Amino acid sequence: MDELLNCFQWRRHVSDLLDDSLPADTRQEVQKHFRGCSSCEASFQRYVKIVAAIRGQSKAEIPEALKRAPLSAILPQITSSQFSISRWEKLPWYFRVTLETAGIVAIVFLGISSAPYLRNIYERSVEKNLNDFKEMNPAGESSKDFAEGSIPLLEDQPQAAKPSGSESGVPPVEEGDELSGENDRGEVLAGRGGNHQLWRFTLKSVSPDELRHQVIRALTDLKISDKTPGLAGMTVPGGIEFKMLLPEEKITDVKAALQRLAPPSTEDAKVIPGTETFTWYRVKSKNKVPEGKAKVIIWLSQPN
Amino acid sequence: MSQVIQEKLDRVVASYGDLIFDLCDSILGSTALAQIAFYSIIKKIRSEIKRGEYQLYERSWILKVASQHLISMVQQRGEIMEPKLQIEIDSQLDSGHRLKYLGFYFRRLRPEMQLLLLLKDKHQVSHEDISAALSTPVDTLKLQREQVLKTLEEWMWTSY
Repeated sequence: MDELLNCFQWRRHVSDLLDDSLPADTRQEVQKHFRGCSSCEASFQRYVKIVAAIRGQSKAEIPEALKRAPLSAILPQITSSQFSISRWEKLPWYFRVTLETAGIVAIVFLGISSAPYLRNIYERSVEKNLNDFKEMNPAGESSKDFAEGSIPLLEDQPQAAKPSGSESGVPPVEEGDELSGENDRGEVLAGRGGNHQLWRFTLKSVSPDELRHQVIRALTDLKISDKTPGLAGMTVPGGIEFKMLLPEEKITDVKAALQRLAPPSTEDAKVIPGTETFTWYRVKSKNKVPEGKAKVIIWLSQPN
Repeated sequence: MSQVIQEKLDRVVASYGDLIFDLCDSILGSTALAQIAFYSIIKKIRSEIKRGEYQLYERSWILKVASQHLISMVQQRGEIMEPKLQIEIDSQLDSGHRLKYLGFYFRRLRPEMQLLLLLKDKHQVSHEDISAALSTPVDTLKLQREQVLKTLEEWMWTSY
């Protein structure tokens, strides 16, 4: 060998160098390289240390019982998890990732597609409960109230709004509420009617929403419980409607309070019907209400 | 017939039992697992003897059976330390002091490489026998030995 070994070439001889089986001339070449390259020499010295450390490791001795009868000795119990991996883990990663992604997509798709179905089931369940409730109360008192929304209503419940003709600002007239009674003009309203009182108050304001809060405050000031169903009123197309069952003795006070809240009427209002800011009438209703109570509907809307 | 098989098996255990068991213990790092692996290897050797696959070059054949079984067992266990944990442990030891923990670094190597170092340096098995056991040419084995030593050197002498 005429040329000096470089830092890569000497490495081909490491194994033989460590085993001391390298031909003398090659060994000399390697030694020559080491003299000129301290980092390679240091590296080789580390190899020697590692090999010496491996050689110096103690050798495990085979247990005597296993040595005597290797196939009939009692072996230690180990859990399968100590040296086995699941079939799933044995699959190639790209296959597992694809399957996992597909699984997630399928779950999301299933969730989205089943949502309407689940909602349908829920709605049926609610409907069934309502029917059961009605059947349990054949007199129709509670069930009627329930159906008409006389339980505490949340604001802006669209399903509760059934304003026949309310688009034009006219308070709704319900089935069974026949006009038989009197109104604020002193007119007698003819009709068959029933035995239960229904009071309707209509207030017109440029801002029914503001008036709504004033009405609630006025009603609660009259010691009407804030838990009274319908006290919060609800927004329906054309205005805001309060539908409540109130003690009959409170009606006069309610009427007076509402009258105070109503914006002042113009002069025209006395002449042109339908432009008044506060109107009321009382009718007889066939719809049953509890004893001592009167059904009160307060209608807030903007002037026509 | 079974007497002949038993005699051959006894001879194998007497001659190579310690070597096989040490390989099992060093590679698997657990005496309990080593016993199980040893049992499986001996069972395999017995079945090969029964099938008449007893080899003339007994040492190479025994080592081949043992190596294949151990490599497969390590792969099944799948115990590979996460790089993050390796770096954490490395950073807590000064370079140069890590030689005391050689076994720890040794087990990071692929099982084939562990076997190569164990057979060559711990048990002084010839390159030819290792070549037959690992089905790798001798020259390749020599290069692999240099590479695996270089890997260990980098692990143990690099400052983090």
